[in-house]
Amino acid sequence: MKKIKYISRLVISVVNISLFLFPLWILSIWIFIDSNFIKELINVGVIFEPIVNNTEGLIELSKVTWQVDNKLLGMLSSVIGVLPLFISLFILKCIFKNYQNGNIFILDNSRYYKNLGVLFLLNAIIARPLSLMLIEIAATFHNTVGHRYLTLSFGMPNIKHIFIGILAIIISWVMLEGSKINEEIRHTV
Amino acid sequence: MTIVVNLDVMLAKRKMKLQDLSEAIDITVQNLSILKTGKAKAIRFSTLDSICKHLQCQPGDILEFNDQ
Repeated sequence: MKKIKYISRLVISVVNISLFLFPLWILSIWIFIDSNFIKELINVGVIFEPIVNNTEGLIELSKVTWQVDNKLLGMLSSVIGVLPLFISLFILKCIFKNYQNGNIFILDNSRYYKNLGVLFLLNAIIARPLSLMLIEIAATFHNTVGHRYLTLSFGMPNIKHIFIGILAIIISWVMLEGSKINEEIRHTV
Repeated sequence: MTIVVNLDVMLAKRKMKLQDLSEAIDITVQNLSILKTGKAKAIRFSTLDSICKHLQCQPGDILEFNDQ
């Protein structure tokens, strides 16, 4: 139990740091998107995928001219893209706070795992496609009329997230059964 | 739950407090309280044996089936 409490404390610290750094990171990317450093990061795929594929061909995001309007669209795309992850960090924090207090197989934790699963599904079905759509709009926003694009795509990366979401929901069901067994043991005299 | 626990009745008959019973049979007051208030989901035979031995009663004096 000591080890669980120690690891939980560590995870909570990492989550707290991430919750603070994530918004700063997104903000700084879009403020300094015209800098060479950020363009290099885009090229190697650290920030987001460097290339958007549309009917006209490939758009290299590091070569797009960013102005205030399409920067805002891009920022919105990033925010929507990381929102499920951001919310899942809050949920993880709640789970590990319970672990830190020695409450492992409880109803609350199974509910949190279910919420994580649902978040993964929402990420795959809504957030990712919407985020990709917005980045494409942002990248083609200042193109000439007739060359601005809006596409909605759904592919293998989404299916991967759907699978993970379903897995998390199944795990939450197992946790729920575990919490019922734990409850019975606690109330056995 | 249709199983009613009459531990408080037996304790009153034997003029004993829950604390005394808990010390005598080496089960915490909290656990006995769970039993007394009907929140218990299961009882071990060893616990029932200890209670009946100390209160000099039968299991039927402690546990009652009430389907109403």
